[in-house]
Amino acid sequence: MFQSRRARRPVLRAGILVATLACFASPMALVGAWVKDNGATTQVYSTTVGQLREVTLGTTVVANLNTASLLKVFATTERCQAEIQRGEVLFEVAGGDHPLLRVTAGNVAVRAGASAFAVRMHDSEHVDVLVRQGTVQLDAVQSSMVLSSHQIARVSPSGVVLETFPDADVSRKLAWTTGHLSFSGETLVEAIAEFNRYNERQLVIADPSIRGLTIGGKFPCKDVDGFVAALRPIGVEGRDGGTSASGGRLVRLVASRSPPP
Amino acid sequence: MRRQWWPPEVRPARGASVNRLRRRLLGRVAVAAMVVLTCHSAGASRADKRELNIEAGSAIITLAEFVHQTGLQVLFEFDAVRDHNTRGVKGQFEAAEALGLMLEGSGLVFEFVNERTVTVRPRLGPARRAAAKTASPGESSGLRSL
Repeated sequence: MFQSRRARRPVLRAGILVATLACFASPMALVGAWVKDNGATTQVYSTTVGQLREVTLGTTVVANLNTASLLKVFATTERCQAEIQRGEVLFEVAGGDHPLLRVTAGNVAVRAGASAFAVRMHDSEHVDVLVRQGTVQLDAVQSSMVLSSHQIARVSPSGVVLETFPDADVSRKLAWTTGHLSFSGETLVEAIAEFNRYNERQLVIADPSIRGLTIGGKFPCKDVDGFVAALRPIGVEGRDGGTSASGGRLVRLVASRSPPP
Repeated sequence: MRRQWWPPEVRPARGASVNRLRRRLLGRVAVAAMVVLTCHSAGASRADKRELNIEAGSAIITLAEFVHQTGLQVLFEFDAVRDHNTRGVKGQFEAAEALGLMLEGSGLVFEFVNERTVTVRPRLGPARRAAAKTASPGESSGLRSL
């Protein structure tokens, strides 16, 4: 009734082979499901420092590329795969709730039907996903979850941190889509880091006493002169800082010698 | 003999009507003028009068609303302004006029650093604010009555 160990060996080998093939084949079949349609094309879209760009992917997705971004897209008329290789992109997906778009950025993947969400890739291990409208499925190394409207997930090697914002804050975080930066309590360090993303001319803090200054207000992304001028009445001066290693001009920010009375 | 000058793109072709070309040239001039006017009006300026409707409330919220309704650029030190309240404004105002009304009695002042950019700050500088706090530690909102 029972076969000998020697007789069972070929069956065992075949089983192992089938299991191994299944391990590789399943993900490939999933990927294949996205790309099987005829007429698919691969496109690469990019923006330079300070540039914003809107592109239509297939028939259902509009992608807004923020400054210094690189997006690789494989789109058919019905579905779309996008890989953010650098920067930040806001995706607006029209249509039904079934997944029409799959976005990867570093170790993070997002699947979405009708929705609007932004993905910002700081580096391959640090990625933010902000949902403005609808819901999306987030798959990170450590966990998978559904993100709803007004939620932001900050993915890093230490885990996923979820936050929920009111509508006004979501609009403020996406002010870049209209070419603006909007601040509401960010430190001067954080504010100038944002300005520096959009400009060749870089701001640097040359005085530790002003690092923690908190900023509120709204500015065009590229108006470095206006921003620096507006800092003067609150006790911060901009001075010529020469040229950086990359060739851009530097503006050194220091505490004013004659602060406001 | 007097030579007629035309831009290369509208130089009369053989047999073309000069009047038709003049109309085309005038059309282009009109379009260019419209583009210039549109570009000019796209940038808000402190001198523009606009219809404003901003309710009284926390300065953080009302200044954000001021930015939204005027299209001007505003900067303020968040922590120094967050405890202040401003008055409401409703009607046609220039930006400076509206800000003057909003900030009246708030302990805040404003300064235009260029035609489109304004900074809002407490009337007292950091050193005098610290001194005022030390003198009356229980009155954290005392600056509002200034």
